[in-house]
Amino acid sequence: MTDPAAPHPPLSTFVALVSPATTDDQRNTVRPRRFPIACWRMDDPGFDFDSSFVVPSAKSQMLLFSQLRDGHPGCPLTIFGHADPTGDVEYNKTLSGRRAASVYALFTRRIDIWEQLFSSPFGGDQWGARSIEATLRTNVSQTTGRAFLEGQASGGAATTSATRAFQTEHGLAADGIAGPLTRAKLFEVYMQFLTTDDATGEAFVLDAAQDFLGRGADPDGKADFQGCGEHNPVLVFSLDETNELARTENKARRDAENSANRRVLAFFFEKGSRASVGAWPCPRAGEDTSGCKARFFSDADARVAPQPQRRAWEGDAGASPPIAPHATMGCRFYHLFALRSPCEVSRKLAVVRIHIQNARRDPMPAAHYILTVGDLRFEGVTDADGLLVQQVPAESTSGHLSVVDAWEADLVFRNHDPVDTSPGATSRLANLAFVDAGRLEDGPGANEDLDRLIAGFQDSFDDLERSGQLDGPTQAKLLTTHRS
Amino acid sequence: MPQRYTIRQGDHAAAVAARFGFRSFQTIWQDGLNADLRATRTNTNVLLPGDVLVIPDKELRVEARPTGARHEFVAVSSRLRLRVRLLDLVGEPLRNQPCTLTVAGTDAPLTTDGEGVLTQEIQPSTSSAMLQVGEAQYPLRIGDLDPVDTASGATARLANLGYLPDFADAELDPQELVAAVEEFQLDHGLTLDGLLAGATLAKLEEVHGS
Repeated sequence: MTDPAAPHPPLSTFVALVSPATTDDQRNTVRPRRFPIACWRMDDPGFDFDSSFVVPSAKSQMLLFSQLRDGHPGCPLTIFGHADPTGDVEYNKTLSGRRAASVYALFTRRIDIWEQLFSSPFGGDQWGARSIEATLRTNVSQTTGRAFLEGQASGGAATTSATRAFQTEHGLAADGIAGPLTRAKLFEVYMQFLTTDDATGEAFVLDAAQDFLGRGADPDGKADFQGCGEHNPVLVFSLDETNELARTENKARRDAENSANRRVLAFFFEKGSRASVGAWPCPRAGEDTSGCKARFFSDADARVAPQPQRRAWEGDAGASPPIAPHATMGCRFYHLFALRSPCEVSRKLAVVRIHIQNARRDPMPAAHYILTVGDLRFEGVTDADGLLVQQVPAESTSGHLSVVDAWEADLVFRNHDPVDTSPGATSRLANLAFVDAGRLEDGPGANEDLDRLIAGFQDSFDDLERSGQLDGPTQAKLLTTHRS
Repeated sequence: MPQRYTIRQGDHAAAVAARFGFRSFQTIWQDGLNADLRATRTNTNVLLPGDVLVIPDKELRVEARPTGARHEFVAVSSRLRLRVRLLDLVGEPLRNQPCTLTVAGTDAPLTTDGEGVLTQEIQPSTSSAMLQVGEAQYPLRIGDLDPVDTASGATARLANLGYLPDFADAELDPQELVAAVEEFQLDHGLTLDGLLAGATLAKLEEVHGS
């Protein structure tokens, strides 16, 4: 079972087996256990791709964290960021560290850490206007009773105007520019938004000196938060998939299928646990991977490397040959934390692929879309073919797709019926806008004019005869046009 | 007629001696018929269930003393102790640490020495105790530690040293054991191979202290 916030299965009461002593050199040794008792996982949609900025939709995950923490008073935690294995090893270490730092800063209200992340962009991790606008979109103006910024436009006059209004309300110089002073207030307000339980109106804040394993003893957060880079995946593609997904045109798919590996974990430890900073093995979030390597399994490379089969952390006894569990992580130290963790699984996700077209049925490359599935909101742009690829929870049955400044549609996730059946043909024709979607739910008689609809479809293609019949060439054309 | 006795879980030298009415286990241990076992087990307080001991017949000892006078006989008995070294989460000794050892409902307030070791005299029949260190409680099973070169003995030591969540867990994930062994090997400058053998076992016995 996957669970984004849960206690670990209880550890059995520790019993030390000891021997009595009859000579002075005989003794026993007892040391406390270093195993987590609860975990919280922040999933990939909590950040934009290749970014450490916590997006507004992560708010629901923060509530889960707060509830888990309330159930474990006095239990200190430490935060781990993870990246997927795409790209450079050191880049991924840094990015995962920035994500861990970002979450730590949110929990402890370290606005200075966010300012550091904002003002020191790293590769693709550029906070930019998006981080400013997140506050303006989620914070309500006392004057107007509405969000400071509405609509999808970014970085333009509307943002300047919203920034000015925000500055005025917070006693800042109203120049419409989000400088350091304005950013500090914006981040403070946004942190409050993310950590507030709307049911009670109360926000949670953690004490850096008490609530983490390292107790804030290290100014750069050693033992409090760190990044594992790409070394501890929960999903390793097969060799074939790796080669296939390495192709440029498959980037969107690769990034979507890799989402299980992009995550931030918080582990809680037994009450009173404490790690002395000097003895904590993980390097700081800002340090390179050399400190990680001492803790790698002797066969770490083989664990994280692609093999003939796709391998998930939880294994698969039903695969042929069976896939052993718990053999994908390279770091031994982290592996011991993850072993009993209900938060560490390669989630069962379904991939949604949609070719987005305009009214003339031309593909819409680089189209800005917003896909909403349950509480999750995915925002992005289509690839050069107008393809949208996104992973959604496997149990999802419906969603909503908005192509900004173009059109929107409700989505039902299920497999189409075969193309040689009336329902199968009708649902595909509906997606391709040859039939009004409302007809799908029409009662008796809906099929009567299927012939006419098919004829309309056939009219659009020079190589199809206008027969009105769902014949072989028409079925084939319907499949290639719909792409499924 | 000497008899054969098969060691059970929880047995240790003093407990076996007491069971058969010997003051010293050495009388049993040094018997020629136990030479093979002596060569296998280096610590008489750490025996393996299934080990077979030959219990020699008790020899009648004759002490001639004149009548009409008071005579003093002193029984020689080796003191049996429980010694436990306490570490913190990252392996530093808890020096001069107050703690409480509870045996058969009686609390003994103790303090560890400069090496983090606490020592308390116990009876051969004592098979369990509860050790309280601050908020942490450690139930102890005395005499249940198997030899280090057995799987159960090695995992029990790894658990005592904080590398495994529990001793000799039947559900123990093989990956968890490899990880624990390599963590131990790293901490003690050994070659990382995840195997419980050779130098790793010797170091495990040395670090644990038994």
